[in-house]
This record gives sequence, structure tokens and C-alpha cells, in this order.
Amino acid sequence: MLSSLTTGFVSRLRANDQAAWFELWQTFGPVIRAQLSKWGKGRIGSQTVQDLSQETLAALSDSIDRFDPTRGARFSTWLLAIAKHVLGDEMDRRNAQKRGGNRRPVELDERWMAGRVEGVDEAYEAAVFRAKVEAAIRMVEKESDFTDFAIYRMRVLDGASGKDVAASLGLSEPTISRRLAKVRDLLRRRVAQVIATYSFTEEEVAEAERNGLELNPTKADDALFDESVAEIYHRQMELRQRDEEAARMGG
Amino acid sequence: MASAVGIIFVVLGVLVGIVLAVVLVMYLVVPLFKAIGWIFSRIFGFIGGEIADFARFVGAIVTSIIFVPLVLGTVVIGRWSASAHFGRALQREASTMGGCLYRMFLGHPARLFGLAPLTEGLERRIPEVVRAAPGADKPAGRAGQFEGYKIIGSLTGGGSGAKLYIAKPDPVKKATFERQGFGDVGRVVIKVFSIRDGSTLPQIVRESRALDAARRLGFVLDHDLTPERFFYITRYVPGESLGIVTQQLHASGTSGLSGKELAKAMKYVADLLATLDAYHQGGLWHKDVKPDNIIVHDDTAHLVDLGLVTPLRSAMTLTTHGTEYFRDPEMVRMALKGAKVHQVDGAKFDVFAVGAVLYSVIENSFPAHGGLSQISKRCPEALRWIVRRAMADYDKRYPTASGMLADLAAVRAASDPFSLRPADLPSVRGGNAEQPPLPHHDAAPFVEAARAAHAASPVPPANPAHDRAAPAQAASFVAAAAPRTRTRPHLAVTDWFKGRYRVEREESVASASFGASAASGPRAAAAVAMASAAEAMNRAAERFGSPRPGSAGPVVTPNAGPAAAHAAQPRAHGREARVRAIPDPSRRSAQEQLRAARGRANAARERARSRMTGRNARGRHADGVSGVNPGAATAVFGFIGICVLVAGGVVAGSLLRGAAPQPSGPRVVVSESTAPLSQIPGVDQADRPIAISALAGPEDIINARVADVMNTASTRIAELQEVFREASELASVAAQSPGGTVIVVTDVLPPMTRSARSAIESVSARMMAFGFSVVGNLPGIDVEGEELDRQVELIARLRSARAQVPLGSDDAARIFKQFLAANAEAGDAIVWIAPGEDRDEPTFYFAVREEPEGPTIRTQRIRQTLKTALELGEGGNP
Repeated sequence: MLSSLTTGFVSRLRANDQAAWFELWQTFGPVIRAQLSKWGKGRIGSQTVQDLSQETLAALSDSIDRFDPTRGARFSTWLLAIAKHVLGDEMDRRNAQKRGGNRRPVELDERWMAGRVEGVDEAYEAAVFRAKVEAAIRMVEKESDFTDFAIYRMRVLDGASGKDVAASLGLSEPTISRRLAKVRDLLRRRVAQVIATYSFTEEEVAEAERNGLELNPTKADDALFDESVAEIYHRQMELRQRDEEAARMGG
Repeated sequence: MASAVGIIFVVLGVLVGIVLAVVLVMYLVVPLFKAIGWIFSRIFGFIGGEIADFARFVGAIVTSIIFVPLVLGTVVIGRWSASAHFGRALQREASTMGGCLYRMFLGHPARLFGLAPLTEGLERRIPEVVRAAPGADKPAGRAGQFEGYKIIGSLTGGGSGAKLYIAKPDPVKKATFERQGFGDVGRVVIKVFSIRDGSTLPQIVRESRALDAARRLGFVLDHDLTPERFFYITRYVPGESLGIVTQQLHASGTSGLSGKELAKAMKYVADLLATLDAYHQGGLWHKDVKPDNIIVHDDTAHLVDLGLVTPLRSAMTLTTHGTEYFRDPEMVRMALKGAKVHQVDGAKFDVFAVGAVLYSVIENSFPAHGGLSQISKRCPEALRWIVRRAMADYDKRYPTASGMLADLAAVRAASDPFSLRPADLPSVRGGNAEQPPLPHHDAAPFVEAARAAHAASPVPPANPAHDRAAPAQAASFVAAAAPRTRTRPHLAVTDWFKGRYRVEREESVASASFGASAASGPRAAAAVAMASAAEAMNRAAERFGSPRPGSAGPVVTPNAGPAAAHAAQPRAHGREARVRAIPDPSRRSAQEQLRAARGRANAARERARSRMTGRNARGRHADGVSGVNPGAATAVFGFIGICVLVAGGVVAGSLLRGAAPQPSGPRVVVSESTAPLSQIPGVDQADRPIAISALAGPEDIINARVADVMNTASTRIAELQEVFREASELASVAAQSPGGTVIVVTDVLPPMTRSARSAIESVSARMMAFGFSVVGNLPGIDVEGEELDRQVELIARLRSARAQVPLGSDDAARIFKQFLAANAEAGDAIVWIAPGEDRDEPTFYFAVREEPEGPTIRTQRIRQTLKTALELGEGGNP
């Protein structure tokens, strides 16, 4: 069952809201590019991957009108199916060019709507999930006070001790703890919101807890939550770094 | 019992043994192994370092070997800019090799094993250099011609479709730039968009829309837009892009910048911020700040490429142009929502880009994660804070470039940047980064200049808050020109019922200028605003236009860059003029203004003279271009060498020729004219061998030649004597000539033979040589206007008087004498030129005016002189 956030976001996409599409691109672009590179296995260059990932979103916008949420597809599967279709189209086009014929591009395989797409693995699902958490962190960065988020970043993402953060900013440790908790609470809410937005199934919604992000925690869960966020953040950093390097190499 | 004691001893012994073993292991074996491990790690570290540096060295050699043919190839095809580019790349490789040698022989610890460094960066360096190679040095077709500039090279174009050329302005242009206050402009960059070369109209429009404002700020020297092309001209700043400089800064290690490199990096970013602050104060934002658009020259960073410069208050829709990673994602979101430029604060997008640039300098990488990008390299915590604050969300980042500059200056000023806490930064300490003082007091005049230029600029101010604060455009001038520290105006309500109020602080100014110390509503605000604007602009004009005694004048901070330095001076004059446009109650009289204008003209003349003097003294190296181009130096020395060789060859040749006896010109003429060729040695020897026996001997030949020469010389001397005699006779005649006016009438009209024309010209020239004034239509004598009319009438009356009377008859002589007597003022004699029997020889008839009492001496002399001049023989017509 789709949440209102999801349907709202899908509605924006359907209405061709450019900002919604940009948001989607910002959040999941690296994941799509990574997946396309993985499937391409060196047969396509980084520049082509860039182009294909854009085409993926373009194809997504075409198919959004045929989207049927009742058939139980996951959001990640939805993205992946489109990406796979675009890549297959590109490969067919190349083969057709090699043979000198004019083979028509393949039709979009819409079996993804029933959740049947080959190539969906755990790594991909994890990457999509990380992208969602990253989007939530960005939202928190945008909404919270700069110093508050700087405290959270130094304490959690950079791994500095509370004492060091307090000394660095000239604040007391209790103040640091208080402002840290404030950002953490906001982040929890935003993670829940983002996951609800970019999830089509109940299973996807439950991913947060499976990854250590308890959205309704006790006090003891805070440390685990922070640790999970830091790990996700760093892995996502690594993904983006590789994406950026590939882009540089491809010129 | 004994066995029990033995057992106890054994147990104790075992326990002691175990303890001893543990102690031994803990305090002896473990340290021993640690020591051995430490030694091995050192040894392996050394070996690894040697291998790595050696591999890096080999890699640099391989790269250099690839570059050498590229350098030579571009030299051969005459692409000098490209050859210089590849040469610089080669130089970098040589620098890398030197560093490797240094580390290898001085035992730098190595961190890597294996041969990975062999190809370190190889796959990136070569494509980057090849991709960045400039195009052809000379533009093609008429679209590539720029009046007043000589193209001397080219640069790599960006993504805007433009072509970039390096050019030198001619002296006239240079003088124009100096007159406009741009200083001494050596080399310039011409960025041209031509529809013929593939540029599109939107590109041209986009590039051209903000350049008027940029020119006022001194960032653009010149620009022009025609139906076919658009170009603008900026100063040429030689140097490397910040991207390459960053790689060089990080070349020494992988852990990050420290010490000197870090200080340099911060200096570059500070330069960038100072320049951007000037842009923003001038009502513009750059919109494409990135390492490739920052050129480092003489340890100063210069911001280039004005392709996307946009007025902050433009009414156009915000576009997504820019470069990924350095473009604020928020800007893209706003653009996609259709926001207008004036609805956003473009300065903040530039600040984001500066943060990204600072990140890339620190990390030697792109901020792929936007504001969340992690800084993993060694970096002061305060600097890390600055990056994050600059790349924070739109509402939370530094509101101005100067705010960020203040924080950066604090880090730069710290004795140990690593010990500086974020809490010590001005923006954190003061809690407001919007109004920090500039770090260098020298920068104040430049910023003030930019503000003043902004005040005079039609481009509205940067900060939308200014609009809200003032009801009229004049108020925005105040906001721009006033000091940045905002203070709440002191208002005193004078009439609660009508809503009148008085501005306490501005009262005196307002009343002095407008006599409107108290007025109602917007008009009062506008009046106060105008008064404040006038005061601020006059203050600026005082500071820049006419420095007060003891003041430093328009000092420009080095951080502001040379463009700003040159920009400061010219604007002073323009600003002065604009200041006068504001109503001034103490207007001077016309006489005073005239005196002042003369004074300004004299001062301008003096300035021009001093400029020219200075230019001559500075010579050719005054164009601000430092260093010597090795290629040019080689070419100059080569040219000089060739000249020396050619000159030496000529001298040697002439010496060799001088050693052999060569006949001189006259002698050759005489010889050729008098001696047969067969008798001249050395002529046609191959075809006709000289029969030595047939000659009477060398002495006879010489005597014969001497006799011939003597005969020829005697003849020539006799001819010359005749010429001299005739000339002396003519001279004596001319000396005795009484002068007078001769009326010449000719019936020999064009077309005439060359001989006849020559005779007539000769006669007229001779008459004039003898002192006569000639009147009439002769070849070579042209008159105009009233004199022509007079002469035409005179000749017409003379012809009428003669009618059909034959020229040689007595009647004709009588008619002429009567005419001369009746028209004494018209002339003293008449010469009538008639066609002869032979059409090549015209006949001259002449008559001299006689006095009533008979021929006088003067009459006789005129007749004699005229006769000589006309070369009339005996029996000629009198």
C-alpha cells in the first residue's frame, strides 16, 4: 500500500514537476550510474553511463503514467527495471549498428510491475537504501541550524568525541549533547519520511529497522542509530567518490 | 613428606618458571620482536620508497618522451601557443623527475610497494593535456579580424562555443586604454562568438548581457556586438589554472596540505573572494567559479571567463548554467521552479562555489557529495568549518564573500592554523558574518570604488533587502554607496496626524542639499537618499579622483588583482562626472568652470605626456608580462645569428672581390665602347680562347686603351664647355631681364604631339626662369577662381582684337601693340603660339608694349630677353 507521501511524489513526477525529477536524479543518480557500470562490465564508458542514467530518468517519466501500485513492485525495482531497459536498448542499438541493420529498440519490459526483474541483488537494494538515508541527511542539513548540524556532523559523521566538539566550538558538553539529540530526532523523522516517499511496499518501509535505524527508539538505540547513519554516510561517500572519479576519467 | 615437599617445590618451580617465562616474553621477547619489526619496517619502507620513486621517475620520463614529439610537431607546423602549452606540460614532468631524484637520493620514506606509481596519473595527465591544447593561432576569415589588435596566439575554448585568442593592442588602442584608466595593457584575451564558427544566438545574448556593467567595473576592457559576431576583451593573465596548481601543491604527499602549501592555497582563495566581493558590490555575480576559471600568476589568483556573468538584479529567468560540483544544487532547484534572477541572491551561489573550490584545493578532488562532502585530508578544523559554512544550505551559508573572507583571513593570520578553533572565527565569535571588516585595510578603497561604481551603475544593488528598505531607486544608491554597517535610522515624528517625520541623523545633509529636512512619506525618504548618495559619491570622488594631502590615494590591495587595480583609477573620473550631475546648490560660475576645464585639459595633457615618457622608458617589457618566452628568445637569438652570418658573408665576399682588380664603371664603358670584346681579358674565355700570340703585348693594349679614354674625355669636356658657355650666356640674359608679364595665347591645342608639347613647356619654363610672369593657358600653368576668369576674359578680348588678321603681318603687330597700350596693367608683351608647317614645331610670335615716346631701354631689354627665351633666330617675327 502506498503512503500518501509516495503518491504525492509520484503525482509530482506525473505532473512533470522538474524539481521532483531533479530530486530523484540527485538522490538516485549515483546508484543508477553504479548499477549501469556494473552491468556494462567495461563495455560502456563512463560518459555513456552518465547519458544512460539520464535516459533512465527520461524513460521513467514516460512510464510513470502506466505505473500500477497495486501490482506490488518495489521502488528500487521500478528504478532498476527502467535502468536495465535503457541499457538493453543501448546495447541493442550498438549491435544493430555493428551489423549495419536498423533493429528497432526493445519495448520496455513492464514485468517489473509484478516485481519480476532479474539482476536485483542485495548490493543494489542496499545502495538504494543508502541513497534514501543520504537524502534524509540532506534534508536535515537543510532544515536544522547550521551549528546544530555541524555538531552532529563532527560528532557522528566525523567521529569526534563530545569533549573535542565542545572545545572546538566553545560550548559545554551538555549543550553539545542536547543539540546533538535535537538533530538526531529530526533525522529520524526525515529518514522515516524519505523511506515512506521512496517505498512502494511494506517490505521497503521496514528496511530502516533492518539496517539499525530504529525509527521509534528507546534511549539505548541512539548510539546504534548514530553508528548506522555514520556507516551509511561513509559508504555513500565512497560510492559518490567513485562516481565522481569515473566521471572525471570519462571527461 | 619429602615427596610432598618435592611436589610443592616442583609446583612452585613451575609457577616461577611460568611467571619468569611470562615476564621474559613481556619484557624481553616482545620488545625484541618489536625492535626487529621496527627495523624491518624501516628497511622495507626505504626499499619501497626507492622503488616507488624510481617507478614514478620512469613514468615521468615516459610521459616526457611522449610530449617531446608533440612539442616538436607543433613547432614545425607553427602552432606556437600549442607548443608553449606542451612545453609547459613537459616542464611539469621534468619537475616531477627532479622531485623523484631528490627523494631517491635523500632517502625519503616510501609508502608504496610494487610498480603502481609507474602509471600513476598517466592515464589522466596525457588526455588532459591533449584535450586542453589550444586551437589554431590565427583566426580564419573576416570574423577573426579585430581592429586595433594583433593576434599572437590562442587558448583552449570552454564549453560555451567561443574561440579565445591572445592579442596585443596596437599603440592607439593602448593609448585608449590608458586614457580610459585601464593602465598599461600589454596582452589581452579576445573571446569571440561567431555564428559562422558555430556559436548560437542564445550563447551570444547570454554572454553579452552583463558586459556593460563588467566594463564599468574594469573587468572587461572592450566589447562589441555585430549581426555576425560578438566579442569581448579582457586582460590576458598568463599562468596555470588552480586545478593544475592544486595538483602541484599536493605533489609532495597524499596526506594533505601543510605549512607553506596550505598558506598558498588559502591565499589563492582569499584573492578569489576579494575579486568576487568586488563583483557583488558592483551588482554582478560570476556564476561559473571553478578551478579551471581561476588562473594563478605571480602567486596571485585571478578570476577569468565572464561568460556567465549576470546582473544580480536581472529580470531574466534563472538558468541552470554552471559546472557540476561547483554549482549550488539549490540554484538548479530554483531555476527549475522558474525563479527570476532578482528573486534570489546570486552572491550566495558564488559563495557556494568558492566553498567548493576551497574543498577541491584541500582535498585535491571534487566535492562529489555537495555540502555533505567529507574532508579526509589533513586540514585545520577552522578551515573545515569555513568550507562547510560556505557550502551549507542557501539560507545558512555566508551571506557575502567578504564574510567568508574575514573568516579565512583569521585562519591565515593565525600563527598555527591547526590550533585555531572554529569558535575563534569572526563569524562564530561575533555571531554575524554579514558585516565583518575586510582583513586588509588596503582593500577598503577598492571595495569603496566598486561600491561607488555600483552606485553610478544602472545595475541595481545586490541585496534584495536594500530594495525593501528604500522606496525609490535613489534609496538603493544609498544602500549601495553607504558603509556596510547598517544602522537603524533615527526618526522623529513631527506630525502624528499627517504622518510626517524627520530623519535626525541626515537632517543637516538633507537641508543643505534640498532644503527638505522635513517632508512627508516617500518624498522625504527619496530626498534623504539622494543627499546621502551625493555625499557618499562625493566622498568616493574625493578619495579616488583628487587625493587629499597625506592620503594614500587609490591604493589597491594585491588581493584584488591587477584588474581591480586598473579598475580603480579610471572609475574615479567617470564617477567625478556623475557626481556633478547631482544638483549642486553651490554651482560655479561659467568663468570658474572654464578655468577648471582648462586646468583639467592641462592636467590631462601632462598625464598623457608622462604616460608616453614612462612608456618609452619602460620599453617593451612594460606590458606586465613577466619572464621571457624561451621560444621567443631562441627565435631572436637565431635571427641575430643569421643576420651576423649574412653580414659576415657579405663583408667577406666584398673583401675577396676587393682583392682582385676590378675595372670601374667608366672605364668599362670606355673599354666596351672602344675595345673589341675579344681583346678584353676574362670575357668569353670559354668560347674564345685568347690568342696571346696575336697581341702586340700588354703594353700596347694598355696604351691603346689610354688613348681611347683620352679622346673620349676630350670630346666630353668640349661638350661640357659648350653647355657651360650657353648656360652662362643664359644666366647673363636672365640677370639682365627686366621682368614683366607676358600674355601667352596658343592656337596649338591638345591633342598635340609630344615634341610640340615639349617645346611649349620649354618656352614657358624659360620665360618664367627669366623672370617673366606668364598669363594664359599654357600646359603646367593652372589658375582658379577669379584669376582664371580674368585671364579668360583677357585672352578673349585679345583674340577678338586680332580677329582673322594673319599673325606675321604688320596689322597684327599694330593690333598687338595697341592692345598692350590699352591694357597696360594686363601685360608687357604678347606671345602667340601658332601651329607651324611641321606640326611638331610650333611657331612663336611675340610683341612688346612700347611707350608713346618710343622704345625705352626696358622695352629693348624685354624684347631681347623674350627673344632669347623663345630662341627666335635671325629673321624671326618681331
